[in-house]
Amino acid sequence: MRALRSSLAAITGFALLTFASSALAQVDLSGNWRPIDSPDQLNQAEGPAPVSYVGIPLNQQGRQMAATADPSAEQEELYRQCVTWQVNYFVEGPFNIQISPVGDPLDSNDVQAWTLSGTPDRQREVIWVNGHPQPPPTALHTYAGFASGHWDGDTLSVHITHLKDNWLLRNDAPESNQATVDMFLNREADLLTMLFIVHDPVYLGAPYPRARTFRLVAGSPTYSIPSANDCMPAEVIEGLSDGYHAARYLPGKNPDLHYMGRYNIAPDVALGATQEIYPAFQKVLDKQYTIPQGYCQADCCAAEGLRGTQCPGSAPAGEGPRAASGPARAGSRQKGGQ
Amino acid sequence: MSNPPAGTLLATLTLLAASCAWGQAPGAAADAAAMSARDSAPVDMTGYFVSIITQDWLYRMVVPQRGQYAGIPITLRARQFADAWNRSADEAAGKQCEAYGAAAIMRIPTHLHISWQDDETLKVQTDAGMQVRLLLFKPTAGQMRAPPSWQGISVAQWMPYLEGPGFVGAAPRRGVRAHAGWLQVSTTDMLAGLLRKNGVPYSAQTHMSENWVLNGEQQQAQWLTVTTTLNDPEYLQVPYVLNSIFQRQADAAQWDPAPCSLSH
Repeated sequence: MRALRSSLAAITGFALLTFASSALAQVDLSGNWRPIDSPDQLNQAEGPAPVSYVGIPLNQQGRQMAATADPSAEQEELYRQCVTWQVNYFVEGPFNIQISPVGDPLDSNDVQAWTLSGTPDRQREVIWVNGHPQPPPTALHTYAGFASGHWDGDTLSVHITHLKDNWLLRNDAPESNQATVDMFLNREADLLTMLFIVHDPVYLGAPYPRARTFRLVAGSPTYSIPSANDCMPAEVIEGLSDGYHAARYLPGKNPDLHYMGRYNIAPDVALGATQEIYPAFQKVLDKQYTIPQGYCQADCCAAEGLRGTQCPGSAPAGEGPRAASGPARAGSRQKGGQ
Repeated sequence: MSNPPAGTLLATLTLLAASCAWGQAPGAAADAAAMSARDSAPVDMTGYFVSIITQDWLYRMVVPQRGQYAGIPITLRARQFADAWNRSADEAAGKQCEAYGAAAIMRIPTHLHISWQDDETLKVQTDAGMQVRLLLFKPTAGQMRAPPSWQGISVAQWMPYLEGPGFVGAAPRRGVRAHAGWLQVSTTDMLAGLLRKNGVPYSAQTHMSENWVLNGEQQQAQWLTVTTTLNDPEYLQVPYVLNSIFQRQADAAQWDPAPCSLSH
């Protein structure tokens, strides 16, 4: 009997070692992550320009949706008061991300899921890494969707389904509820690089990848995490319509269709297209693009708040930047305080 | 039937577990050290890739206007340089490739052809500007004494993933797992060049570190993300971090060599 107990202890020890190694195989992603790179700086400050969808592989339907969007009138659509961004917006917004493990109640070392939260304008994203079964296609779609992940070496590979209709950017680049998102999280020391790839059979003609790097910082995000009670979509905003109008222009009536002309970008190019994200499109641009003359006048420097990126000094006499900001943008909307 | 001695069983199981779970890493590392860089590669990065321009499109697909420096933490000196930069003069001087140096080339819209030049050198060719980067895993003294060049001297090392179920009982194997490890590259000795084709400079003192990570299980849906950190004491106030995304291509069908240009 004593020998049997010893054998059991040995087997238990073996099992512990094995499972421990499995748990250790997960890279520790937990912490407060601050974005440190600055792709598409304009997207994070004032928001992207209206009808500026360059670099988005929109298909014809996506272009039509984009061309008629009126982001400045979004508050006329009451339901949008409570819309949060979905997960791929982590690479667009200015906020830190709080990543936390969710342990098994009986064994906190056995990570069952990771959560991405800490931003006021997104739902908590739960990434199941325990083989949680995929919900059926008819299951409820949410702004967070359903995220399942697995470790490939030290990369957390995630697939997200069951998303709601949403937007890729603040200028109402469309994203449908048929979209899925692949996400890859790679940590190297105190840097975390996130690669998101949006697949949308409704509005995109090709996968839409975006990447961003974050640095691990002390403390926690100070933003409150939204809950179901944070938003009360009952109030019609004074001065706007009755709250039930669509924020849309009729085809061809969007006054911002030529907004990108200030960059010498033709309206047809500004609407985005599948071929625009590939190098070969430069040959198309060669036939129509010329470098804008004069000195940059608007959106020339990095946004305030990003350390060290303010344009210092002065420009050459007579052609220097006059102001930090350009003309008011129809597309700069404030969602969830952003 | 007699039970096996408990102590023996415990010791055996413990040894077995230890060798599987943790003992493999040093062993595998030693094996990897003995192998060439080509044979110890934890991922297969060779092949053709195309850059996907979904970020900073306005600064990459077209030449931005003079004074458009958004997103780059430039110093006052850098801005003065860029404001005074003369495209025509540099074109006349044959310096078109100053915008295709190592610090900028991964942001240029291009195709990549990655191949092994030899067992210790990964060659990265671009069709845009027809540049060649050599990633040296075991650089020789002669290679390290090379004069400054657009692509500089790049020293590379694999960062294999050695722990976890995926590699229990096996050394890292080339091409077996999609992304069980990544490539780390450190580059110096570059000629001074341009980060943007509107004159934003980087200096010859720039040090560049890169992480090359391959994601995606299937060949046709593999993504190469290169995270670059530039440190330039002369022209950058803080390290400039940026990501470049590439998608694997099946073949060289889209390969389209073109000379360096400062105008498009």
